[in-house]
Amino acid sequence: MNILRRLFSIGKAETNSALDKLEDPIKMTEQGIRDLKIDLDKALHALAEIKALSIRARNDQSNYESKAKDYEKKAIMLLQRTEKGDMEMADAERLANEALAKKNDSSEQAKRSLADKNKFDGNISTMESNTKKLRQKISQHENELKTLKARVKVSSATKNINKQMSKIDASGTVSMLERMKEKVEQEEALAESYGDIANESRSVDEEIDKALEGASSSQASDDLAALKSRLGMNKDSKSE
Amino acid sequence: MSLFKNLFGKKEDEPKPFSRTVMDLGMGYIFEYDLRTWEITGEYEYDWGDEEFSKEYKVSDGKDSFYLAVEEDDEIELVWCSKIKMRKLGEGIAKSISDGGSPPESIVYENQTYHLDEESPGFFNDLTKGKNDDWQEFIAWDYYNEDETLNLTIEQWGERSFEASWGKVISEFEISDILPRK
Repeated sequence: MNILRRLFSIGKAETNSALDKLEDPIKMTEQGIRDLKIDLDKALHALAEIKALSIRARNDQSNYESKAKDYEKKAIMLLQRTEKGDMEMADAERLANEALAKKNDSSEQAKRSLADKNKFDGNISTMESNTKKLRQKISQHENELKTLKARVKVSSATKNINKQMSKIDASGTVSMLERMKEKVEQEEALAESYGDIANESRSVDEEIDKALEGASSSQASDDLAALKSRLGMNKDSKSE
Repeated sequence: MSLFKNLFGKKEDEPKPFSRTVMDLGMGYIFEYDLRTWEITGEYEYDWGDEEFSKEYKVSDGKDSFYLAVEEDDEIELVWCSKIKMRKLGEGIAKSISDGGSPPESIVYENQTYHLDEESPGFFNDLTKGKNDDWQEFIAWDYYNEDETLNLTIEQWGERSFEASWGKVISEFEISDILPRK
């Protein structure tokens, strides 16, 4: 079981390593930023919806306030008609009461709309703060990515230059000179060996020659004396 | 980020939360102008011929409504305007035009003199409820004040129907925090 677990761990590690190699960190970061932008865009859409709700609540509040003012104005006009004698007091009061009830309804609606608007404005404030943070985060990531891309370019160029330089050292002139030096040394060593061997064989001959040197020269002297005597030159040489 | 999502995931359009401009505006969009939040509640297109188009948006902050005219001609020109009563420009203008006369070369409105800049016949399309082919023909006369910071427009729709608008030329940077809505 233990062996199986270890084998499984090795397999997992190798798979992760292979996946890591597949993943380009720059592309992954770019995708991450794209995902953040999508999130931000969704947040902006939501913010737009809330702002629209706030605008509508304000519009409702304004409309209800106008309606309330209008009902109040109508109630006043109804009562004024009784003063002029254009209308029965009972009818005017009944209608004025109705108008004032509607005025109160509208005022209540206006208050509710105002409360809604204030609530939406609170939400807007929070969401704006959050979207601002997200914007800053995206900008920061984009700037960091720009810097990283520039650093990658620089390091890649430096790596290439250094690689070229290292290639020159390994298989270039220096190594050729080294190899040549080795070859020359080998040649020199070989020449020396041949020289030693040659010296060795020459000295044997020389020794032989040296040993025989005295005999051959006396033989030559004897031969010369015999020849001179044959030519009758011995007298001349003696007389000289 | 999973490897499978990377390898087989559908490639999504790049969102552009940082680069939305007035040229991207559309129905329902929200933006900030003059320290107020505005919602686009109407969208209109103008065809001036020769492949020249411009847009206009009706905007509301829940209390007030205005129009934002957007035209791209070498550079983006924006006019923040509102409708005004034609008679405020002078009694005789509409009659003079509908009788076949030419519009005045200059108009005085609220103590400011405006000079005729151009006469532009065109077609109008209301895109508020979506794309359609319902184009209406009209003719517009644009007036500007001396330093071209204020604009006055007279439009003739049909024989005796006129509209006028007054507005100020604004810069693109004044429209900010553009938020999209689908």
